[in-house]
Amino acid sequence: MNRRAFVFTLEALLTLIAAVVFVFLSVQPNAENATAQLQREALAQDLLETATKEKMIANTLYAFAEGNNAAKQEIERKWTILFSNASVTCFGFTAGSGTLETKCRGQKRFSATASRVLFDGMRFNEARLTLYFDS
Amino acid sequence: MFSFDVLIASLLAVTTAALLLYVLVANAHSFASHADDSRLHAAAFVASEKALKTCASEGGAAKCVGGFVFVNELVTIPTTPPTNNSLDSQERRACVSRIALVGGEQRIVIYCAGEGDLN
Repeated sequence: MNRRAFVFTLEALLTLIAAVVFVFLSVQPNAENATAQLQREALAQDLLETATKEKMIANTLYAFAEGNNAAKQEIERKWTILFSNASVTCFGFTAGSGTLETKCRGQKRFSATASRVLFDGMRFNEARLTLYFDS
Repeated sequence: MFSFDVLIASLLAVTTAALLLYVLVANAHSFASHADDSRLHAAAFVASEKALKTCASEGGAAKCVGGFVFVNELVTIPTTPPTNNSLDSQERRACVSRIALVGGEQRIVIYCAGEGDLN
């Protein structure tokens, strides 16, 4: 092999290795995004978990599921205040015949959904909460 | 004596090698940094889980902060640093936001872990 062929071969090999490295780096799972999503999911789960544990809040959810408008307004007010200092931009909540969609104060870049079964002693209703985040 | 095209090819080869080395070194540092961040986030998350369970089983907001730094923008509760070093003095830290019942109301609580919590 002459010198010129050797240099070109070496260069081609290095380029190939560089390409492999770039491909390897591009297919790496982004751990940071996974952690952030885990936290978003935890926040949605926490909200429903604590809401169903506390009797007063649970009663509001039961009333909401029955279509009570006052309960809807209370949930919207309290959860909007709760999320005023978080990166939650808006949320959607459905339970029984109740549906609530709040106005977004930012982008809906990410979302996290949680659901629980509500039982008020008479009937079961599925409560479904979706939180939207801009970061 | 080198011809001109061999010289150009050699320069290209050296440049490619330098770029490759740069990418490897830069990302090695990035990988190490991500690993540390992941450990901090995991520590903060585990701390929040423990604290919330303690809070739920024993009741009372004060129980929620035992052993962990507690920051809450909505209610004021004395903090208990996990180590002698304040989290503020630690360069690297990770925080997780959770929701806890404080006095029958839902509140956002933020649990943080610093480098001191990893040892």
